[in-house]
Amino acid sequence: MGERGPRTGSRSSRAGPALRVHGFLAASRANGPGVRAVVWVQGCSLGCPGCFNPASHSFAGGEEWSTPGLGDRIAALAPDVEGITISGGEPFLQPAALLDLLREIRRRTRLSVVVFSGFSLAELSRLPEFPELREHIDILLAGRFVAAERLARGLLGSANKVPHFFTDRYSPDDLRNVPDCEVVINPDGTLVATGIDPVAMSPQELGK
Amino acid sequence: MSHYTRIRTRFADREALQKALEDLGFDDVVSGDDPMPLRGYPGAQGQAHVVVRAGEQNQYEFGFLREADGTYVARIEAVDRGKLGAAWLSRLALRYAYHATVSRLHDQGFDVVEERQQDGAIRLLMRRMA
Repeated sequence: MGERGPRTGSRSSRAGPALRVHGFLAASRANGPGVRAVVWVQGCSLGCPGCFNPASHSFAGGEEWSTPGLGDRIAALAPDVEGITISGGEPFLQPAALLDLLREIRRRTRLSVVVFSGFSLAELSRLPEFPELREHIDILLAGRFVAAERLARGLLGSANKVPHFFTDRYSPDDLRNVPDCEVVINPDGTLVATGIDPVAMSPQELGK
Repeated sequence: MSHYTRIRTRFADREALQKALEDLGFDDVVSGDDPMPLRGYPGAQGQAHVVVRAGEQNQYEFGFLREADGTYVARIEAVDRGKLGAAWLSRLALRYAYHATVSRLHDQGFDVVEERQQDGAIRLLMRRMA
Protein backbone atom coordinates (compact mmCIF):
# COMPACT_ATOMS: atom_id res chain seq x y z
CA MET A 1 0.00 0.00 0.00
CA GLY A 2 2.69 2.42 0.93
CA GLU A 3 4.95 3.85 -1.69
CA ARG A 4 7.93 6.10 -2.11
CA GLY A 5 8.38 7.81 -5.36
CA PRO A 6 10.81 9.28 -7.81
CA ARG A 7 11.11 12.79 -9.12
CA THR A 8 10.67 11.69 -12.70
CA GLY A 9 8.15 9.63 -14.60
CA SER A 10 5.55 12.35 -14.98
CA ARG A 11 2.95 11.82 -17.69
CA SER A 12 2.45 15.57 -17.64
CA SER A 13 4.51 17.43 -20.22
CA ARG A 14 4.61 20.48 -17.96
CA ALA A 15 7.68 21.21 -15.88
CA GLY A 16 6.85 22.17 -12.34
CA PRO A 17 8.54 22.90 -9.03
CA ALA A 18 9.81 19.96 -7.01
CA LEU A 19 8.18 19.01 -3.73
CA ARG A 20 10.45 17.30 -1.21
CA VAL A 21 8.47 14.29 0.01
CA HIS A 22 8.95 12.20 3.14
CA GLY A 23 6.34 9.54 2.39
CA PHE A 24 3.34 8.67 0.26
CA LEU A 25 0.37 6.39 0.85
CA ALA A 26 -2.10 5.53 -1.88
CA ALA A 27 -4.93 4.84 0.57
CA SER A 28 -5.42 5.66 4.23
CA ARG A 29 -8.50 5.92 6.42
CA ALA A 30 -6.81 7.66 9.34
CA ASN A 31 -5.77 10.91 7.67
CA GLY A 32 -9.09 12.59 7.07
CA PRO A 33 -12.64 11.80 6.01
CA GLY A 34 -13.03 8.62 3.94
CA VAL A 35 -10.23 6.90 2.07
CA ARG A 36 -7.47 9.32 1.16
CA ALA A 37 -4.11 9.43 -0.55
CA VAL A 38 -1.55 11.01 1.75
CA VAL A 39 1.62 12.98 1.06
CA TRP A 40 4.02 13.66 3.92
CA VAL A 41 6.34 16.46 2.87
CA GLN A 42 9.94 16.55 4.04
CA GLY A 43 11.35 19.45 6.02
CA CYS A 44 10.17 21.32 9.11
CA SER A 45 11.97 23.94 11.20
CA LEU A 46 9.30 24.45 13.88
CA GLY A 47 10.85 21.93 16.28
CA CYS A 48 7.71 21.21 18.33
CA PRO A 49 8.85 19.18 21.36
CA GLY A 50 7.35 15.71 21.24
CA CYS A 51 6.67 15.76 17.50
CA PHE A 52 6.18 12.16 16.39
CA ASN A 53 7.54 12.61 12.88
CA PRO A 54 11.14 13.67 13.62
CA ALA A 55 12.42 11.84 10.56
CA SER A 56 10.50 14.35 8.43
CA HIS A 57 12.32 17.40 9.86
CA SER A 58 15.55 17.48 7.85
CA PHE A 59 15.36 19.51 4.65
CA ALA A 60 17.96 17.19 3.15
CA GLY A 61 15.96 13.99 3.65
CA GLY A 62 13.19 12.45 1.62
CA GLU A 63 12.97 12.54 -2.15
CA GLU A 64 12.09 15.25 -4.63
CA TRP A 65 8.98 14.72 -6.71
CA SER A 66 7.97 16.94 -9.59
CA THR A 67 4.56 18.38 -8.78
CA PRO A 68 3.13 17.42 -12.20
CA GLY A 69 4.39 13.88 -11.65
CA LEU A 70 2.87 13.73 -8.20
CA GLY A 71 -0.31 15.19 -9.64
CA ASP A 72 -0.38 12.39 -12.20
CA ARG A 73 -0.04 9.82 -9.48
CA ILE A 74 -2.79 11.31 -7.36
CA ALA A 75 -5.11 11.82 -10.34
CA ALA A 76 -4.73 8.14 -11.20
CA LEU A 77 -5.99 7.28 -7.70
CA ALA A 78 -9.02 9.57 -7.95
CA PRO A 79 -11.55 6.83 -8.70
CA ASP A 80 -10.62 5.01 -5.48
CA VAL A 81 -10.11 7.80 -2.96
CA GLU A 82 -12.23 10.63 -1.61
CA GLY A 83 -9.41 13.08 -1.23
CA ILE A 84 -5.81 13.94 -0.65
CA THR A 85 -4.20 14.86 2.67
CA ILE A 86 -0.96 16.80 2.87
CA SER A 87 0.96 16.27 6.09
CA GLY A 88 4.58 16.51 7.04
CA GLY A 89 7.08 17.93 7.72
CA GLU A 90 5.65 21.40 7.21
CA PRO A 91 3.80 21.78 3.90
CA PHE A 92 3.78 25.57 3.94
CA LEU A 93 7.58 25.76 4.04
CA GLN A 94 7.38 24.68 0.38
CA PRO A 95 4.62 27.10 -0.64
CA ALA A 96 5.33 27.33 -4.37
CA ALA A 97 5.44 23.55 -4.83
CA LEU A 98 2.41 23.07 -2.58
CA LEU A 99 0.42 25.62 -4.57
CA ASP A 100 1.43 24.02 -7.85
CA LEU A 101 0.37 20.58 -6.59
CA LEU A 102 -2.98 21.78 -5.29
CA ARG A 103 -3.69 23.67 -8.53
CA GLU A 104 -2.96 20.44 -10.39
CA ILE A 105 -5.26 18.40 -8.17
CA ARG A 106 -8.10 20.92 -8.39
CA ARG A 107 -7.72 21.23 -12.15
CA ARG A 108 -7.76 17.50 -12.79
CA THR A 109 -9.90 15.95 -10.05
CA ARG A 110 -12.79 16.49 -7.65
CA LEU A 111 -10.75 15.23 -4.71
CA SER A 112 -11.11 17.03 -1.40
CA VAL A 113 -8.00 18.52 0.18
CA VAL A 114 -6.97 18.37 3.84
CA VAL A 115 -3.72 20.03 4.91
CA PHE A 116 -1.91 19.82 8.26
CA SER A 117 0.28 22.73 9.36
CA GLY A 118 2.24 23.65 12.47
CA PHE A 119 1.63 27.32 11.68
CA SER A 120 -1.44 29.19 12.88
CA LEU A 121 -3.88 30.68 10.41
CA ALA A 122 -2.61 34.16 11.31
CA GLU A 123 0.96 33.13 10.51
CA LEU A 124 -0.05 31.46 7.26
CA SER A 125 -2.02 34.53 6.21
CA ARG A 126 1.26 36.41 5.86
CA LEU A 127 2.39 34.08 3.07
CA PRO A 128 2.00 35.72 -0.37
CA GLU A 129 0.72 32.40 -1.75
CA PHE A 130 -1.82 31.83 1.01
CA PRO A 131 -4.91 33.50 -0.52
CA GLU A 132 -4.77 31.13 -3.48
CA LEU A 133 -3.68 28.16 -1.38
CA ARG A 134 -6.72 28.67 0.82
CA GLU A 135 -9.02 28.48 -2.22
CA HIS A 136 -7.79 24.95 -2.88
CA ILE A 137 -8.10 23.61 0.68
CA ASP A 138 -11.24 22.15 2.27
CA ILE A 139 -9.85 21.66 5.78
CA LEU A 140 -6.74 23.22 7.30
CA LEU A 141 -5.57 21.81 10.65
CA ALA A 142 -3.42 24.61 12.01
CA GLY A 143 -1.17 25.26 14.98
CA ARG A 144 1.91 23.95 16.75
CA PHE A 145 1.86 20.55 18.40
CA VAL A 146 1.92 21.20 22.17
CA ALA A 147 2.79 18.00 24.00
CA ALA A 148 1.27 19.24 27.28
CA GLU A 149 -2.08 19.60 25.49
CA ARG A 150 -1.91 16.27 23.69
CA LEU A 151 -5.34 15.27 22.39
CA ALA A 152 -4.77 12.76 19.56
CA ARG A 153 -8.43 12.75 18.48
CA GLY A 154 -10.30 13.97 15.44
CA LEU A 155 -7.08 14.66 13.53
CA LEU A 156 -5.96 17.11 16.24
CA GLY A 157 -2.64 16.19 17.78
CA SER A 158 -3.08 18.67 20.60
CA ALA A 159 -6.06 20.62 21.89
CA ASN A 160 -4.68 24.02 20.81
CA LYS A 161 -4.74 23.06 17.14
CA VAL A 162 -7.60 24.58 15.18
CA PRO A 163 -9.52 23.00 12.30
CA HIS A 164 -10.52 25.58 9.67
CA PHE A 165 -13.27 24.57 7.25
CA PHE A 166 -12.71 26.69 4.15
CA THR A 167 -15.53 25.04 2.17
CA ASP A 168 -18.87 23.48 3.12
CA ARG A 169 -17.76 20.03 1.99
CA TYR A 170 -17.04 18.82 5.52
CA SER A 171 -18.14 19.49 9.07
CA PRO A 172 -16.56 18.87 12.50
CA ASP A 173 -18.45 15.55 12.68
CA ASP A 174 -16.44 14.32 9.70
CA LEU A 175 -13.25 14.79 11.68
CA ARG A 176 -14.63 13.16 14.82
CA ASN A 177 -15.33 9.99 12.83
CA VAL A 178 -11.75 9.57 11.59
CA PRO A 179 -9.98 6.59 13.26
CA ASP A 180 -7.19 7.63 15.61
CA CYS A 181 -4.69 5.25 14.14
CA GLU A 182 -4.27 2.77 11.31
CA VAL A 183 -1.82 -0.05 10.67
CA VAL A 184 -1.65 -1.68 7.26
CA ILE A 185 0.10 -5.05 7.14
CA ASN A 186 1.18 -5.69 3.58
CA PRO A 187 1.35 -9.16 2.00
CA ASP A 188 5.14 -9.15 2.32
CA GLY A 189 4.92 -8.50 6.06
CA THR A 190 5.91 -4.82 5.95
CA LEU A 191 3.82 -2.51 8.10
CA VAL A 192 2.76 1.08 7.71
CA ALA A 193 1.45 2.82 10.83
CA THR A 194 -0.25 6.18 10.51
CA GLY A 195 -2.76 8.45 12.19
CA ILE A 196 -3.02 11.14 14.83
CA ASP A 197 -2.45 8.76 17.75
CA PRO A 198 0.68 6.86 16.81
CA VAL A 199 1.11 3.26 17.84
CA ALA A 200 4.35 2.49 19.62
CA MET A 201 5.94 -0.08 17.35
CA SER A 202 8.98 -1.53 19.05
CA PRO A 203 11.75 -2.61 16.68
CA GLN A 204 12.72 -5.16 19.32
CA GLU A 205 9.28 -6.76 19.06
CA LEU A 206 8.39 -6.25 15.43
CA GLY A 207 11.73 -5.74 13.77
CA LYS A 208 12.52 -2.87 11.44
CA MET B 1 0.82 16.38 11.71
CA SER B 2 -0.30 12.85 11.27
CA HIS B 3 2.12 10.12 12.10
CA TYR B 4 3.90 7.98 9.50
CA THR B 5 6.11 4.97 10.16
CA ARG B 6 7.17 2.16 7.88
CA ILE B 7 8.55 -1.02 9.45
CA ARG B 8 9.98 -4.15 7.86
CA THR B 9 8.99 -7.08 10.01
CA ARG B 10 11.56 -9.38 11.54
CA PHE B 11 10.55 -12.29 13.73
CA ALA B 12 11.20 -11.16 17.28
CA ASP B 13 8.14 -12.16 19.33
CA ARG B 14 8.15 -15.91 19.98
CA GLU B 15 4.48 -16.11 20.90
CA ALA B 16 3.40 -14.26 17.75
CA LEU B 17 5.70 -16.49 15.68
CA GLN B 18 4.08 -19.62 17.09
CA LYS B 19 0.59 -18.25 16.39
CA ALA B 20 1.64 -17.45 12.83
CA LEU B 21 2.93 -21.01 12.36
CA GLU B 22 -0.39 -22.34 13.66
CA ASP B 23 -2.24 -20.13 11.16
CA LEU B 24 -0.29 -21.85 8.37
CA GLY B 25 -1.13 -25.31 9.66
CA PHE B 26 1.90 -26.09 11.82
CA ASP B 27 0.44 -27.06 15.17
CA ASP B 28 3.22 -29.29 16.49
CA VAL B 29 5.65 -26.62 17.65
CA VAL B 30 7.90 -26.58 20.71
CA SER B 31 9.99 -23.69 21.94
CA GLY B 32 12.37 -22.85 24.73
CA ASP B 33 14.92 -20.38 25.99
CA ASP B 34 17.74 -22.72 25.05
CA PRO B 35 18.34 -24.00 21.52
CA MET B 36 17.11 -27.51 20.77
CA PRO B 37 18.48 -29.93 18.17
CA LEU B 38 16.61 -30.13 14.87
CA ARG B 39 15.96 -33.67 13.70
CA GLY B 40 16.74 -33.00 10.09
CA TYR B 41 18.48 -34.63 7.17
CA PRO B 42 20.73 -37.44 8.46
CA GLY B 43 24.02 -35.95 9.57
CA ALA B 44 22.69 -32.42 9.82
CA GLN B 45 23.29 -30.71 13.17
CA GLY B 46 20.97 -27.74 13.24
CA GLN B 47 19.57 -26.11 16.35
CA ALA B 48 16.64 -23.78 16.94
CA HIS B 49 14.76 -22.11 19.78
CA VAL B 50 11.44 -22.70 18.04
CA VAL B 51 11.15 -26.18 16.53
CA VAL B 52 8.42 -27.35 14.15
CA ARG B 53 8.04 -31.13 14.16
CA ALA B 54 8.02 -33.02 10.87
CA GLY B 55 4.59 -33.38 9.34
CA GLU B 56 2.59 -33.40 6.12
CA GLN B 57 4.07 -30.12 4.95
CA ASN B 58 7.68 -30.72 5.99
CA GLN B 59 9.68 -33.90 5.64
CA TYR B 60 12.14 -32.81 8.32
CA GLU B 61 11.94 -30.63 11.39
CA PHE B 62 12.64 -26.97 10.83
CA GLY B 63 12.89 -24.10 13.22
CA PHE B 64 13.88 -20.59 14.13
CA LEU B 65 17.15 -19.80 15.88
CA ARG B 66 17.30 -16.70 18.08
CA GLU B 67 20.17 -14.42 17.13
CA ALA B 68 22.12 -12.18 19.50
CA ASP B 69 19.85 -9.21 18.62
CA GLY B 70 16.77 -11.17 19.73
CA THR B 71 15.37 -11.87 16.27
CA TYR B 72 14.63 -15.36 14.99
CA VAL B 73 16.10 -16.68 11.75
CA ALA B 74 14.58 -19.63 9.87
CA ARG B 75 16.51 -22.90 9.70
CA ILE B 76 14.90 -25.07 7.01
CA GLU B 77 16.35 -28.14 5.28
CA ALA B 78 17.01 -27.68 1.57
CA VAL B 79 14.66 -30.54 0.75
CA ASP B 80 11.75 -28.63 2.34
CA ARG B 81 12.54 -25.23 0.85
CA GLY B 82 10.40 -25.93 -2.20
CA LYS B 83 7.29 -25.64 -0.07
CA LEU B 84 8.79 -23.51 2.67
CA GLY B 85 10.63 -20.97 0.52
CA ALA B 86 10.51 -17.21 0.16
CA ALA B 87 6.80 -17.07 -0.70
CA TRP B 88 5.93 -19.14 2.36
CA LEU B 89 8.14 -16.98 4.57
CA SER B 90 6.28 -13.91 3.28
CA ARG B 91 2.96 -15.48 4.23
CA LEU B 92 4.40 -16.33 7.63
CA ALA B 93 5.66 -12.75 8.01
CA LEU B 94 2.19 -11.38 7.30
CA ARG B 95 0.57 -13.61 9.91
CA TYR B 96 3.39 -12.86 12.36
CA ALA B 97 3.01 -9.11 11.81
CA TYR B 98 -0.74 -9.42 12.35
CA HIS B 99 -0.44 -11.24 15.69
CA ALA B 100 2.43 -9.09 16.96
CA THR B 101 0.64 -5.87 15.98
CA VAL B 102 -2.77 -6.77 17.39
CA SER B 103 -1.13 -7.79 20.64
CA ARG B 104 0.67 -4.44 20.92
CA LEU B 105 -2.47 -2.49 20.01
CA HIS B 106 -4.51 -4.13 22.74
CA ASP B 107 -1.66 -3.56 25.19
CA GLN B 108 -1.75 0.13 24.28
CA GLY B 109 -5.48 0.47 24.85
CA PHE B 110 -6.88 0.54 21.33
CA ASP B 111 -10.14 -0.91 20.06
CA VAL B 112 -9.28 -2.60 16.78
CA VAL B 113 -11.42 -3.02 13.68
CA GLU B 114 -9.98 -5.24 10.96
CA GLU B 115 -10.45 -4.95 7.20
CA ARG B 116 -9.12 -7.35 4.58
CA GLN B 117 -7.88 -5.76 1.36
CA GLN B 118 -8.20 -7.26 -2.10
CA ASP B 119 -4.41 -7.49 -2.44
CA GLY B 120 -4.14 -9.60 0.72
CA ALA B 121 -3.11 -6.73 2.96
CA ILE B 122 -4.77 -6.34 6.36
CA ARG B 123 -5.90 -2.89 7.48
CA LEU B 124 -6.34 -2.35 11.22
CA LEU B 125 -8.28 0.74 12.27
CA MET B 126 -8.03 1.88 15.86
CA ARG B 127 -9.69 4.10 18.34
CA ARG B 128 -8.37 4.66 21.82
CA MET B 129 -10.68 2.96 24.35
CA ALA B 130 -12.48 5.44 26.57
